[in-house]
Amino acid sequence: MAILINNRKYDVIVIGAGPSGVSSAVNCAKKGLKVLIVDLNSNTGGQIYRAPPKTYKSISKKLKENEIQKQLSNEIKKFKIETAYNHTVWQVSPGFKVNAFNETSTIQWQSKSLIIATGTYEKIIPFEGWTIPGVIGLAACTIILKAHHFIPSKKIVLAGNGPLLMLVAYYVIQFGGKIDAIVDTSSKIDWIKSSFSLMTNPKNFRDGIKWVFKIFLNRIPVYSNSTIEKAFEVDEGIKLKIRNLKTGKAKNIISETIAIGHGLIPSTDITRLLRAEHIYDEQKGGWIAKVDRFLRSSVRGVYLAGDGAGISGALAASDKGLLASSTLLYDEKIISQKEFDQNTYKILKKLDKYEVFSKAISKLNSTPKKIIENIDNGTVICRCEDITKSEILRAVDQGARDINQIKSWTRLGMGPCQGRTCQYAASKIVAEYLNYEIDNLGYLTGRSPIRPVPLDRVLGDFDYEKITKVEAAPL
Amino acid sequence: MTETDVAIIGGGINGGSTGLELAKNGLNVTIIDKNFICRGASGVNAGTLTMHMTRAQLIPYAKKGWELWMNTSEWLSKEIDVEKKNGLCLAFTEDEEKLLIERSKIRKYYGADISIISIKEAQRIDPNINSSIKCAAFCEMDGYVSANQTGNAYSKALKENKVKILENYDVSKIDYHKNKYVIIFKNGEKLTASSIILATGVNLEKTLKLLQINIKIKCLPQQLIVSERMPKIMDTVITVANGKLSLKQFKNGTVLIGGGWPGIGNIEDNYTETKPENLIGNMMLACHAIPRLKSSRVARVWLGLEAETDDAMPIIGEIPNYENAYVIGSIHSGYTSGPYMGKLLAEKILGKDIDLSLFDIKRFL
Amino acid sequence: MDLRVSNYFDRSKKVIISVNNKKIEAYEGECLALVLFVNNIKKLRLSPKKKQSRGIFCLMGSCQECVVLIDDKKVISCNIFIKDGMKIKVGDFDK
Ligand SMILES: Cc1cc2nc3c(=O)[nH]c(=O)nc-3n(C[C@H](O)[C@H](O)[C@H](O)COP(=O)(O)OP(=O)(O)OC[C@H]3O[C@@H](n4cnc5c(N)ncnc54)[C@H](O)[C@@H]3O)c2cc1C
Repeated sequence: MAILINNRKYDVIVIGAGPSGVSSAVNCAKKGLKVLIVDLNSNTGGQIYRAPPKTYKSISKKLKENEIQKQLSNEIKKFKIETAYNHTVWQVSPGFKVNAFNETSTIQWQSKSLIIATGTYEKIIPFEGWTIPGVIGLAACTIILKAHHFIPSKKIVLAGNGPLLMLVAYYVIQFGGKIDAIVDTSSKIDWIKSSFSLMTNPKNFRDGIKWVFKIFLNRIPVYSNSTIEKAFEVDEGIKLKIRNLKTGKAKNIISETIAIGHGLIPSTDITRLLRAEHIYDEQKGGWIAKVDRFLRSSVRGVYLAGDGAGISGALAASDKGLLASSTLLYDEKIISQKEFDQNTYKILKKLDKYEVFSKAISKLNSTPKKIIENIDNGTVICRCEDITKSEILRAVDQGARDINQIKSWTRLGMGPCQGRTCQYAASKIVAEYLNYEIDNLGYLTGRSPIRPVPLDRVLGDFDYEKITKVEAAPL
Repeated sequence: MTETDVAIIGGGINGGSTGLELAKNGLNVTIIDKNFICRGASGVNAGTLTMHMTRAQLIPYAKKGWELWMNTSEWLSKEIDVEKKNGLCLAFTEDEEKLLIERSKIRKYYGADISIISIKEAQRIDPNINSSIKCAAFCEMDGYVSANQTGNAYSKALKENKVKILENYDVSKIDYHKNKYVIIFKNGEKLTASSIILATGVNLEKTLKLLQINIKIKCLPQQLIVSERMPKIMDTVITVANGKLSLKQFKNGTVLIGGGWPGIGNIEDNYTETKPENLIGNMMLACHAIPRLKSSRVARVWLGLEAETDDAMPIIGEIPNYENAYVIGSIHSGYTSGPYMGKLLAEKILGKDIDLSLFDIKRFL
Repeated sequence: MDLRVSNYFDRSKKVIISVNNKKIEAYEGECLALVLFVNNIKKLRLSPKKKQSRGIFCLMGSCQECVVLIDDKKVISCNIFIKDGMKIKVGDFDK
């Protein structure tokens, strides 16, 4: 068989090597468990502390994120944790079997327990023209800047909402780029209101102040209460029509790159594959795996670290990793009730504090009803399959009443991204249209492979004789 | 309590086709599904309309079904993509060649217009096939339906013919007295019907029990694999001698690999899970048949549950000991012949002289 | 204006790749998606039905928009690092 089966059985496989994955892997390794940590990136760091490419040589210690990333990698090395970087997980089955591919082949590992620390991807509400090359995610922009050390283009417009807007603005300016405008769906008052809650997390709050200050000093035009309504390709780049949601006033801006994002969506690919229970929680990013207070999912042996069971941000991530792994250690009877209580008491308290902070963030990232209503009927919602808003609504008019039914009638979510990019917005559109509670629409059934898997890498070279012989079908 | 002439439990291809025909003939029909219309096997199957994989005795029915599929705009709806294709069934070894010749002969005897052709001829029909075949069987009557659109097409057609559709209604009990059936749903609601048709697919064993009929229906969890869109890499529906591959490229460029390689699944909670070693066997066979397929990426794998009786033949017709109660299901390659089987049952219910003795449920009692 | 930021890292050696047979300079190990982007090669492929041009979008390996062909195989360019002599195809390769 072409899938390389790694016969080593692990006690725990941690999927995702961001801060929460690393902290949980380390916690388990400290107690003598045999741990494997897997990530599609080439190093620890996850999205937020994404490591630069291997060939880059560091010449400065001024970049905080980079220093944190190095610490994470050192921890992994210190505890001799096995790593499988550059491996994209494409299938996880009960038992647990984890299948992943790298540049040449695919491999299968087995483990008793799983810690899922696959983080989030970005929530982006569509608008007419969001598919134009040059319109990218805000989170994408942070990766371009902080991990790859590029400025996307000479000029850029930042749009959407939440603190990522400010963070990206800060780095663009810091790295010598020019921001034509910041288009924020929130109002200045929203920001001021949330700042009290944001202060509960002084470290992040200070960062925030630093970002805002830079934006102010550089006199970047900020359009509050506003959204991008349309984008067109023009000779000079991309022309944007911006609409103020309160006053209705419109304005045009021309820029080269548009980075837009409306918050984060927890990644549920693996928990959906494992048929874990999920619940809808708008504040935590939409559909999330249902977990108890100690981060156990509804599937025995599966724990969620980091943002997978609800967005709470980078600072909480490593604590959530500790919590999930401590729970695992306790369930496996490796630590006593007493040790477990001691470990978790402080973490839970800390997490409660972060909760205030992340609630404030998620308020800033809430999706205004207006921008859903404003989406033009011709706008492509499912980018993979080119399914427009009107095609979705047509299926609804014909009687489709849940997201999987809409999927099979329209092909929405059937493309290579498996609906990760469109499910949130499509559900919002339909819920709005039907005046339904969004959770009534359900969520897309998890399907393997969670990333498109190249057949040649799964199969390798094989002879016809090697194909498993099966009984002929009845005649 | 609501009333209807005919209550059909199970809104798959079989229940849907029967209901549509009855409604077209003026009966008041209600279709009940515990999920949505055609979200069971009928919405997730491979949609292959081939004679090369059809059970020999069912060939005459599959042919009629095929013809119906080829003009869906007349009896069903325009909302479903159907394409006629040539069908090639390949043999890669001498043993397979023998098997293919033998099986094709029998299928031909039952009415399929299948002929054995040389490598050269096969390559002329589809230059993309593996040139190392020993021989091939050819049939013009082949093609596919985009099965994911079944639900949309049927629900539209049923509604247009005034069939009442109850979705998310799970039947928990059926009472029978004074020649009337009272169907009781899990949500407490009730429906009275003069006649009932059980068409619950893989759930038939359980549903028949509601009428104290005990027969065994196996549940076969079948895996399907679809590639992402590709440039045109094949032009026929490809099958193999032992029946364990069905392969075709849809108009949209995606390639669907099927053939009944089992995964894991159960009826109780509709749970399914892939079996990687079987996925690989199925993929290898497909890439062996169409070598260029190997450069593609798998976009999605899913499973569906197929029903099979002990003799792998359908059960269609009257339910013994009850008046006006019928069953339809467990039809091998049932998507192909479903529309015709449904029509036949409807005609029988409407009083026509239709011989369904081959499918009589009594053979199991 | 050089869109490469060099305050914190030195890049490795310069290499040549080709995109639709056109030669482009880049540094070894850089992310392919970004090398294309800053070289103004933003249209990487066409969408299936509307044939709209598409380019990089999420950069996290999720959206699958930044697919290009290398050695006639589809890869997501945000997860590919530059190697000398790499041959890349962009455009309407799904035809
Ligand atoms: C993966 C796969 C691939 C296949 N490929 C092909 C192919 O290529 N060509 C081909 O010809 N055939 C194929 N088949 C076979 C074909 O799909 C089936 O024979 C056919 O769809 C069966 O139709 P049905 O109406 O009997 O069952 P179903 O479509 O399963 O419909 C039964 C319905 O009953 C409902 N139901 C069940 N219990 C209850 C209850 N208690 N109350 C109310 N409703 C209930 C279910 O929700 C369901 O909608 C394939 C099958 C599978 C699984």
